[in-house]
Amino acid sequence: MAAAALRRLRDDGVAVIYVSHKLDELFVICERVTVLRDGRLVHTGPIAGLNRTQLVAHMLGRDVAEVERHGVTSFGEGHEEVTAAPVLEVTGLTREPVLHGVSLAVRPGEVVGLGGLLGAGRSETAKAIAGAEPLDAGEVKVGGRAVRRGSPIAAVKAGIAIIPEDRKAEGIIPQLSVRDNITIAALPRLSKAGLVSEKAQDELVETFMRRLRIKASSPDQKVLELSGGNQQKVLLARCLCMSPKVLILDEPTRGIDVGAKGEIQALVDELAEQGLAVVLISSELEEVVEGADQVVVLKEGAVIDVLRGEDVTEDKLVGALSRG
Amino acid sequence: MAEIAVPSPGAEPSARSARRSDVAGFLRDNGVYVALGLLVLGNLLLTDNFASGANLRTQLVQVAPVLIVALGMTLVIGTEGIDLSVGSVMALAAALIPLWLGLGPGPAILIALMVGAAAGAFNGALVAYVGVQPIVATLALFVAGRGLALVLADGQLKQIENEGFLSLGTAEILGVPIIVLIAGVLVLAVMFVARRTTFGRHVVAVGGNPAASFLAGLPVKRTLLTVYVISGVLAAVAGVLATARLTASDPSAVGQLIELSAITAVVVGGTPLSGGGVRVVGTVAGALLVQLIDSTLIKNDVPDSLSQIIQALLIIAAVAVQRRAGAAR
Repeated sequence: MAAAALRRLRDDGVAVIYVSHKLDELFVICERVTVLRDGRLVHTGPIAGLNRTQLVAHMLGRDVAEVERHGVTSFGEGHEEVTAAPVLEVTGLTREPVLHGVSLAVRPGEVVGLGGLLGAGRSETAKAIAGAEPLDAGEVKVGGRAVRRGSPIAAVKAGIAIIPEDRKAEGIIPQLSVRDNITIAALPRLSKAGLVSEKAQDELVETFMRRLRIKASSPDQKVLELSGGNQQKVLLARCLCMSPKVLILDEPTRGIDVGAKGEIQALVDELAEQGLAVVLISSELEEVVEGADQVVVLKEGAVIDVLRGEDVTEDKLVGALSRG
Repeated sequence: MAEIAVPSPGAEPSARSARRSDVAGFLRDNGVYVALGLLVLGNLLLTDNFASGANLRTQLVQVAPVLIVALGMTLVIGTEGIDLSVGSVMALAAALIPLWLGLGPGPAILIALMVGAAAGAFNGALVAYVGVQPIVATLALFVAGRGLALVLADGQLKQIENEGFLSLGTAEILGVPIIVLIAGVLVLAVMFVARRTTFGRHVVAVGGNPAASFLAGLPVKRTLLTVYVISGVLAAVAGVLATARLTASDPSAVGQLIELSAITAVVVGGTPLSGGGVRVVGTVAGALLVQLIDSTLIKNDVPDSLSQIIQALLIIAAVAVQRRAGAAR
């Protein structure tokens, strides 16, 4: 379609510059590729001579060997066997007609992926856990304590933070500064008697901008002026400065460049190692498989399979999806 | 520790951050001050006695009710709302004063402010909990509020003779009329609330992106309710002060079309109608601008209707500048 149209244009003698971070498209559409990183040209040449790993290595500025060792995503090896009691327990989430008794549990330090096709109820499950979806039945417990249903305020208080699927519509507050976007959910702990402590706020913002390598001219820059990857990091910072116990990531790397993608994946890994419970949703199979310790497979709003340990592979996941 | 790709230190922020130099952006942020400065300058050159203390006092006393209403409107517009009922709430407050002055000025004023809060709570509940669009929700009281006020007052203008109450409109402290002092204190209070409190942050967050604010666990509904309550109370304050200055309760005339002036002041002052921003100082400048245009036109015998047309043109110009500046990104 698009590729064919572009090829026709090319054959008519039109010079085409195609800008994309979707690698597959590049291989289909382009003959030559130029890689820019941090405003500099790092590679240019025919695409035929490159494989995907080499291209990713150029974009990340890493060795090919390293990229191969880690896989295409930046997730590390599986996490150590987690034996602690689950911090998040979800039982029987039901909302007709989209969710039918979805249950799952996440232990501290564990990344649980939600597998499934579009419309399988992954995002609905995520939102239901975050209190943002009205429910007919079901219970969400954090640390053994039930969270009031249908209230994001209660969910946040209980320690559940979510990065929603649609960054622009439900994530960033575009006209506000990077600072305000980061701190907006953490205001209760940054203020006394309703007065915001600017000092505490600025310290927090500085810490997270440095830790997540958020590229902005200053904390005062409007968040809408940042790149998608940096906007996503701002949202991650917003979640983290709430000191959550449970972090829900719905398509955390959709529509952002490979570099930021790798950074976010690595960060999720790091957070899990520090004991955060993570629920991960991604339409990229490799991201779910490499990122998650356990994959809960959904179909038509119900759990049809749970993959654990050795079974967390792309083949098994595809198998589960096609079987169900 | 997992590894994280290290961006090279040469990575500087995009050139977009320098975009402020574009004309529309400058006008949006500072246009109201430029316009106000030009108008003051013109008046200094052309209008007799413009720089006199008496004239300054008159201007400030006249602008006070509009400014007070505009302060509440600033917060409401910050949440991407609008409050059309402010003039009617002023009328309600005005109508209540003579009915309760028997208890003394204090209780009468308190009752007027409480009714203002109740009117705001009604608006806010419709917007926050029922989900009615602000323009429709506040239209109800825009119509019904003045009707109710006229019923309360038997449709009549009532002279007020309570000295204590009237001193609100005439007394001064160190040469500054009390009305102006009250307006000044309220400006500082709203500035403080907008900049330093969690509530102020919530206002711009809810106005900027209600869905994101909801997911982040902000008290979206409570914030919406509160801005309308504040707007209602401030409108009642304006109604009380206007009544004291007039030395009469006149619910059929008080606050007529004040919503137009207040919205003009807010929008001209740079608070975006699309929510997500609150510019209190801009609103003050906007209110002064509206007042000065009015008085300049009156001094030059231009009819009232033309002054309203000019206000409308101002709104259009301000919104056009805001859109241009928004599109320039």
